[in-house]
Amino acid sequence: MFKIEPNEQGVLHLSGRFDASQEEIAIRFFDQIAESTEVECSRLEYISSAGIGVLIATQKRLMQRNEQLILTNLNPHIIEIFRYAGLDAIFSIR
Amino acid sequence: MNEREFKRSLNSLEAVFDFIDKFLSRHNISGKSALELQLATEEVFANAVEHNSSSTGVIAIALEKRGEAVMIRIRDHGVEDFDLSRPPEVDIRAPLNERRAGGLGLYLLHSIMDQVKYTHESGISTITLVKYMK
Repeated sequence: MFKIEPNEQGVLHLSGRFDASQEEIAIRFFDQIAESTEVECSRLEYISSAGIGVLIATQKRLMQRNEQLILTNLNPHIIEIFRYAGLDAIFSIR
Repeated sequence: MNEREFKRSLNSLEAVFDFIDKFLSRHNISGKSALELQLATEEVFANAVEHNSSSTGVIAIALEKRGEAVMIRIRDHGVEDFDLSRPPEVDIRAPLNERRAGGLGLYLLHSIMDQVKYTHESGISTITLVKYMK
Protein backbone atom coordinates (compact mmCIF):
# COMPACT_ATOMS: atom_id res chain seq x y z
CA MET A 1 0.00 0.00 0.00
CA PHE A 2 1.27 3.47 -0.93
CA LYS A 3 1.30 6.16 1.75
CA ILE A 4 2.27 9.83 1.90
CA GLU A 5 2.79 10.92 5.49
CA PRO A 6 3.95 14.42 6.44
CA ASN A 7 5.66 14.80 9.81
CA GLU A 8 5.70 17.80 12.13
CA GLN A 9 8.90 19.14 10.54
CA GLY A 10 7.22 19.23 7.11
CA VAL A 11 9.12 16.20 5.80
CA LEU A 12 7.04 13.97 3.51
CA HIS A 13 7.55 10.26 4.11
CA LEU A 14 6.69 8.06 1.13
CA SER A 15 6.21 4.35 1.65
CA GLY A 16 5.05 1.33 -0.34
CA ARG A 17 4.40 1.15 -4.06
CA PHE A 18 3.92 4.40 -6.00
CA ASP A 19 2.25 3.06 -9.16
CA ALA A 20 -0.20 4.48 -11.72
CA SER A 21 -3.22 3.64 -9.53
CA GLN A 22 -1.90 6.10 -6.91
CA GLU A 23 -1.27 8.97 -9.33
CA GLU A 24 -4.49 10.94 -8.73
CA ILE A 25 -4.23 10.78 -4.94
CA ALA A 26 -0.57 11.80 -5.10
CA ILE A 27 -1.28 14.74 -7.45
CA ARG A 28 -3.85 16.12 -4.99
CA PHE A 29 -1.22 15.95 -2.24
CA PHE A 30 1.81 17.22 -4.18
CA ASP A 31 -0.18 20.10 -5.72
CA GLN A 32 -0.41 21.60 -2.23
CA ILE A 33 3.38 21.83 -1.81
CA ALA A 34 4.44 25.46 -2.16
CA GLU A 35 8.01 25.51 -0.85
CA SER A 36 11.17 23.39 -0.76
CA THR A 37 10.30 20.04 0.82
CA GLU A 38 12.24 16.96 1.81
CA VAL A 39 10.66 13.79 0.42
CA GLU A 40 11.98 10.94 2.56
CA CYS A 41 11.94 7.67 0.62
CA SER A 42 13.58 5.00 2.82
CA ARG A 43 10.33 2.96 2.82
CA LEU A 44 9.45 3.63 -0.83
CA GLU A 45 9.66 0.17 -2.43
CA TYR A 46 8.78 1.04 -6.00
CA ILE A 47 7.98 3.91 -8.34
CA SER A 48 6.87 3.84 -11.98
CA SER A 49 6.74 6.57 -14.63
CA ALA A 50 3.34 7.67 -13.26
CA GLY A 51 4.88 8.44 -9.87
CA ILE A 52 7.96 9.97 -11.43
CA GLY A 53 5.66 12.19 -13.51
CA VAL A 54 4.06 13.57 -10.32
CA LEU A 55 7.51 14.39 -8.93
CA ILE A 56 8.61 16.03 -12.23
CA ALA A 57 5.45 18.19 -12.40
CA THR A 58 5.92 19.30 -8.79
CA GLN A 59 9.62 20.02 -9.31
CA LYS A 60 8.84 22.11 -12.43
CA ARG A 61 6.28 24.16 -10.54
CA LEU A 62 8.54 24.69 -7.51
CA MET A 63 11.64 25.58 -9.54
CA GLN A 64 9.76 28.53 -11.07
CA ARG A 65 9.85 30.11 -7.62
CA ASN A 66 13.37 28.83 -6.77
CA GLU A 67 12.05 26.10 -4.51
CA GLN A 68 12.56 22.36 -4.97
CA LEU A 69 11.89 18.80 -3.83
CA ILE A 70 14.80 17.13 -2.06
CA LEU A 71 14.63 13.35 -2.34
CA THR A 72 16.37 11.53 0.50
CA ASN A 73 17.20 7.89 1.31
CA LEU A 74 16.09 6.49 -2.06
CA ASN A 75 16.60 2.79 -2.57
CA PRO A 76 19.71 2.29 -4.84
CA HIS A 77 17.62 0.38 -7.41
CA ILE A 78 15.21 3.32 -7.69
CA ILE A 79 18.16 5.73 -8.03
CA GLU A 80 19.31 3.59 -10.95
CA ILE A 81 15.89 3.98 -12.63
CA PHE A 82 16.20 7.76 -12.12
CA ARG A 83 19.65 7.64 -13.77
CA TYR A 84 18.29 5.76 -16.81
CA ALA A 85 15.92 8.67 -17.38
CA GLY A 86 18.44 11.40 -16.57
CA LEU A 87 16.37 12.42 -13.55
CA ASP A 88 19.34 12.47 -11.18
CA ALA A 89 20.29 15.74 -12.91
CA ILE A 90 16.99 17.51 -12.22
CA PHE A 91 16.35 16.36 -8.64
CA SER A 92 18.40 16.94 -5.56
CA ILE A 93 19.00 13.36 -4.34
CA ARG A 94 20.65 12.89 -0.94
CA MET B 1 3.24 -20.12 -19.64
CA ASN B 2 1.38 -19.09 -16.52
CA GLU B 3 -1.26 -16.64 -17.84
CA ARG B 4 -3.91 -14.57 -16.07
CA GLU B 5 -6.52 -12.12 -17.34
CA PHE B 6 -7.08 -8.69 -15.78
CA LYS B 7 -9.84 -6.15 -16.14
CA ARG B 8 -8.81 -3.05 -18.13
CA SER B 9 -8.40 -0.66 -15.20
CA LEU B 10 -5.58 0.87 -13.17
CA ASN B 11 -7.42 -0.59 -10.17
CA SER B 12 -6.27 -3.99 -11.46
CA LEU B 13 -2.64 -3.06 -10.73
CA GLU B 14 -2.78 -4.46 -7.20
CA ALA B 15 -3.80 -7.86 -8.59
CA VAL B 16 -1.18 -7.54 -11.36
CA PHE B 17 1.55 -6.94 -8.77
CA ASP B 18 0.29 -9.82 -6.67
CA PHE B 19 0.54 -12.10 -9.73
CA ILE B 20 4.10 -10.87 -10.51
CA ASP B 21 5.26 -11.05 -6.88
CA LYS B 22 4.20 -14.71 -6.60
CA PHE B 23 6.13 -15.50 -9.80
CA LEU B 24 9.22 -13.62 -8.56
CA SER B 25 9.08 -15.38 -5.21
CA ARG B 26 8.70 -18.80 -6.87
CA HIS B 27 11.86 -18.15 -8.91
CA ASN B 28 13.85 -16.41 -6.14
CA ILE B 29 14.08 -13.18 -8.12
CA SER B 30 14.57 -10.09 -5.96
CA GLY B 31 16.32 -6.71 -5.84
CA LYS B 32 17.03 -4.83 -9.05
CA SER B 33 15.76 -7.57 -11.39
CA ALA B 34 12.45 -7.83 -9.52
CA LEU B 35 11.94 -4.07 -9.61
CA GLU B 36 12.69 -3.91 -13.34
CA LEU B 37 10.27 -6.76 -14.16
CA GLN B 38 7.52 -5.12 -12.09
CA LEU B 39 8.19 -1.75 -13.72
CA ALA B 40 8.20 -3.10 -17.28
CA THR B 41 4.91 -4.93 -16.72
CA GLU B 42 3.21 -1.90 -15.16
CA GLU B 43 4.36 0.42 -17.94
CA VAL B 44 2.88 -1.82 -20.65
CA PHE B 45 -0.30 -2.51 -18.65
CA ALA B 46 -0.89 1.18 -17.77
CA ASN B 47 -0.18 2.18 -21.37
CA ALA B 48 -2.83 -0.31 -22.54
CA VAL B 49 -5.39 0.97 -20.01
CA GLU B 50 -4.79 4.63 -20.84
CA HIS B 51 -4.46 4.43 -24.62
CA ASN B 52 -7.05 1.74 -25.35
CA SER B 53 -9.71 2.88 -22.92
CA SER B 54 -12.56 2.28 -25.40
CA SER B 55 -11.83 -1.46 -25.53
CA THR B 56 -13.87 -3.75 -23.31
CA GLY B 57 -11.42 -6.61 -23.81
CA VAL B 58 -9.27 -8.02 -21.05
CA ILE B 59 -5.51 -7.65 -20.70
CA ALA B 60 -3.78 -11.00 -20.23
CA ILE B 61 -0.34 -11.32 -18.65
CA ALA B 62 1.78 -14.44 -18.90
CA LEU B 63 5.09 -15.00 -17.11
CA GLU B 64 7.70 -17.63 -17.74
CA LYS B 65 11.32 -18.32 -16.83
CA ARG B 66 13.41 -20.32 -19.25
CA GLY B 67 16.98 -20.76 -18.09
CA GLU B 68 18.32 -17.27 -17.40
CA ALA B 69 15.58 -15.54 -19.41
CA VAL B 70 12.35 -14.19 -17.94
CA MET B 71 9.60 -13.66 -20.50
CA ILE B 72 6.58 -11.45 -19.93
CA ARG B 73 3.82 -11.60 -22.54
CA ILE B 74 1.04 -9.03 -22.40
CA ARG B 75 -1.95 -9.55 -24.70
CA ASP B 76 -4.21 -6.55 -25.11
CA HIS B 77 -7.60 -7.60 -26.52
CA GLY B 78 -9.86 -5.54 -28.77
CA VAL B 79 -7.39 -2.83 -29.72
CA GLU B 80 -5.94 -0.99 -32.71
CA ASP B 81 -2.42 -1.56 -34.00
CA PHE B 82 0.14 0.52 -32.04
CA ASP B 83 3.73 -0.66 -32.17
CA LEU B 84 5.43 -0.45 -28.77
CA SER B 85 8.63 -2.09 -29.96
CA ARG B 86 10.14 1.22 -31.09
CA PRO B 87 11.44 3.35 -28.21
CA PRO B 88 10.00 6.87 -28.03
CA GLU B 89 12.33 9.82 -28.42
CA VAL B 90 13.00 11.24 -24.96
CA ASP B 91 15.84 13.70 -24.41
CA ILE B 92 17.16 12.61 -21.02
CA ARG B 93 19.63 15.53 -20.99
CA ALA B 94 16.92 18.18 -21.47
CA PRO B 95 16.59 20.79 -18.73
CA LEU B 96 13.68 20.45 -16.34
CA ASN B 97 11.46 23.07 -18.03
CA GLU B 98 11.58 21.06 -21.27
CA ARG B 99 10.84 17.71 -19.62
CA ARG B 100 7.54 15.95 -20.26
CA ALA B 101 6.26 12.92 -18.39
CA GLY B 102 4.78 11.57 -21.66
CA GLY B 103 6.84 8.82 -23.23
CA LEU B 104 8.91 8.28 -20.10
CA GLY B 105 7.28 4.94 -19.28
CA LEU B 106 8.00 3.41 -22.68
CA TYR B 107 11.49 4.94 -22.66
CA LEU B 108 12.18 3.22 -19.32
CA LEU B 109 10.68 -0.03 -20.65
CA HIS B 110 13.22 -0.09 -23.49
CA SER B 111 16.06 0.91 -21.13
CA ILE B 112 15.51 -1.93 -18.66
CA MET B 113 14.41 -4.81 -20.90
CA ASP B 114 16.75 -6.82 -23.14
CA GLN B 115 14.06 -7.42 -25.80
CA VAL B 116 10.73 -5.76 -26.59
CA LYS B 117 8.74 -7.49 -29.36
CA TYR B 118 5.34 -6.52 -30.73
CA THR B 119 2.77 -8.16 -32.96
CA HIS B 120 -0.86 -7.29 -33.77
CA GLU B 121 -3.34 -9.79 -35.11
CA SER B 122 -7.16 -10.05 -35.08
CA GLY B 123 -7.48 -7.06 -32.74
CA ILE B 124 -4.99 -8.39 -30.21
CA SER B 125 -1.71 -6.59 -29.52
CA THR B 126 0.93 -8.92 -28.09
CA ILE B 127 3.94 -7.42 -26.38
CA THR B 128 6.67 -9.86 -25.41
CA LEU B 129 9.40 -8.66 -23.07
CA VAL B 130 12.58 -10.57 -22.29
CA LYS B 131 15.01 -9.89 -19.47
CA TYR B 132 18.13 -11.97 -18.90
CA MET B 133 18.97 -12.53 -15.23
CA LYS B 134 22.60 -11.55 -14.62
